[in-house]
Formats: sequence, structure tokens, C-alpha cells
Amino acid sequence: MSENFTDRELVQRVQSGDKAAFDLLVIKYQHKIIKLVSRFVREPSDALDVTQDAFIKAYRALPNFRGDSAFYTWLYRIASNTAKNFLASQRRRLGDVAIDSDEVMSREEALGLDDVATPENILAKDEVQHTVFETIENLPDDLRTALTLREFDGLSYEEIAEVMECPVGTVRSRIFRAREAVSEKLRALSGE
Amino acid sequence: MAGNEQIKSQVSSFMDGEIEKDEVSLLCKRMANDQELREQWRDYHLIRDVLTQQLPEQSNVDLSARIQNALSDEPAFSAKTKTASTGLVKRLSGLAVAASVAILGVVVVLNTAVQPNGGETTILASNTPTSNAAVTQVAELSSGSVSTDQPMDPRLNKYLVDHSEYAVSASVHGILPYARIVGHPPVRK
Repeated sequence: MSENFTDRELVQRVQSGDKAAFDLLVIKYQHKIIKLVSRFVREPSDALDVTQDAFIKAYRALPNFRGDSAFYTWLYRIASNTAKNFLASQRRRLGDVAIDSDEVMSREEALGLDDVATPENILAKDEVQHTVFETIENLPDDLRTALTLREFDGLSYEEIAEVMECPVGTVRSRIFRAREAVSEKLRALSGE
Repeated sequence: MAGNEQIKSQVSSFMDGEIEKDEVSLLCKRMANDQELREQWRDYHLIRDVLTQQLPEQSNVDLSARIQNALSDEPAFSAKTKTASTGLVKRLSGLAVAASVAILGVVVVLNTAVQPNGGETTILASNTPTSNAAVTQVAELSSGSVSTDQPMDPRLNKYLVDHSEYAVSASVHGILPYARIVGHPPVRK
């Protein structure tokens, strides 16, 4: 079993009429897709709009998704095409406007290709990253090892059980407890 | 492990694909109705995104509510939609396979009917006067140059005979050998 199993299950549920399952796919992939779209569309608010469009397109196309490729590969294609189409339409729109020679704003700036990393964004991201890494660093050895073998090395529970010489159930419990510990710190950070 | 803890542990296992298939349905239903479980799902994926360096600059953004809202007017898919479309595809595929087999059958029969010396074709030709006549008629109509009322140029006839014999002896496949049936009808005066 793998992460693909999770996606397959969720996709099948959406295809059978469970819209809430699509919400879980959105939560799962939204950061990856925002990051991908931001490579094309640098203006943060546009990037979020394009990401939203991509997910809506994916939802509408989902009945035709047969699972020949991994769900993320399929979603990735939809998102990158949506971003490229957005850029093309934006270029067309800007191309229609005559640029005055007094205007110093370059075409790249007009397209929002300036730096996306605002101080607020950088700070928020740094805080989240710092919290996650620091909490993991301070976890008991067995929890930290189980979580990192899973997240960094992508090992299955069975493989982790072999490495750590313990039952699969123990691995399951250690990974859960490690995630809960980090999650608690993140909730404290966001004031929830 | 308490009941709630056990469900939360299932969320953790589900994101790793380490849950029994028959547990998925109930867990998904629970997650659909339990905000806390969805937040847990979100936080766990946030942790993963940090560890795999997939966190975007807008790390504090959660688009799920926006997208859910945008999709609120969209109809949920039904199992029928999927079954109907796949059923149609299956029927069309079946039809395409049947048509391919039929065409292949015709080609094979035509090929096996033609022997290198051309004798078989001659027999075929003589046994199917109706079809020959029809084909000749088509040839006449389409070219407008061949007429049974006019004498055939002996050089042209020889050329057609030579050509058709060469075509058969060179094992030209397909329905080409039939061309000679059309090509040199006997000139009767």
C-alpha cells in the first residue's frame, strides 16, 4: 500500500458522488499546486486564483480520470496548463495596451514577475518551518526516527518496523504520536 | 487507545496509505462531518509539506473553503455517470474489435484465394459473373474511356495482362489481384 492507495480511494469516492472527499484532496495537494503555479504566476493573489481554477477544472474532469497515471501527475498537468493559459491571456491583454515611454514599469513587472516573497510571507513560512523542525528535533528518538523514515525516506510501515525492529502497530502509533506533537505546536502557533 | 484517539490514528495511517480498505469509507464519512478531523488532516499535510520542502510562500493559506464554496453549485457525480460512460466506451471498443476482425477476415480470405499462378483468381472470376459485370460497369462509369462497343487496343490489353501476372507472381497482397478482373475484359465483336 502507498500514498497512491489514499488518492485512489479518495478519487473513487468523489467519482461516486462524495464531494467531501474532494476537499481532502484539495487540502492534501493545495500547497504543492500553489508552489507549482507560483513558478508561472508570480503575483500571489493571481497564483491563488489560478490554483483554485485548476482544482475546479480537476473536479469537473474527474469523472473521466481513469487512473492510468497517478492522481497528482494528472492534477499537475491540469495546474500547469491552467497557469500557462492564464499567462497567455494576461500577455494578450497587456499586449493590447500601448506602453508609454514614461512608464518605467517593465513588462515583467506588469506581468507580476517580480519577487513574490513579501516579508510577511517569509516570516510566516519561517515560523512554520522552524516550529516543525524544532519540535521534531525535540521528539523522543523512537518517534523522531519513525516519522523521519516515513516522511524523508518514504518507507512503508512494514519497512520501518523492520528497520526499528518493532511491530507494525508500534510504528503506526509512533508516527501518529509524532505528528500529533508537531500538530499541537502548529496549532499553538496559529492561535487555534 | 480511546475511541477518538483511534480515529485520529486512522487519519494518520490513511495519509500514508496504511489503512485497511474497508475502513476507508467510514473514516471518510467521519472526516466529512468532523471539522477537527479535517484540521488534523490539514496539519499533518502541512508537516509533510514542510519536511519535503513543498511549502509555498503563502504557507498560511487554506484554499479548501474557497474551492468548496466555488464547487457548491456543482452537482455531485453519481456512480451511474461513470458506469454509463465506461459502458459506452466498452460497447464502442467491442464494436471496433468486431469490425477489425471482420476486415482482417476479408483480407485473409482474399489473400488465400489468390495463388501465385493466378489460376484461382481466374476461377473466381469466371464463377462470379454478376460481380464482374458490376465491377466492369463501375470502371466504365468512373473512367468513361472503356467501352465494350469499341475495340480494345491490343498493346494496352497485353500491358494489363503482363501487369496483372507480374503483380500476382510478386505476391502483392490485398485486393489488388482483383484489379485485373476489371482491367482487361474480353473484347467481343
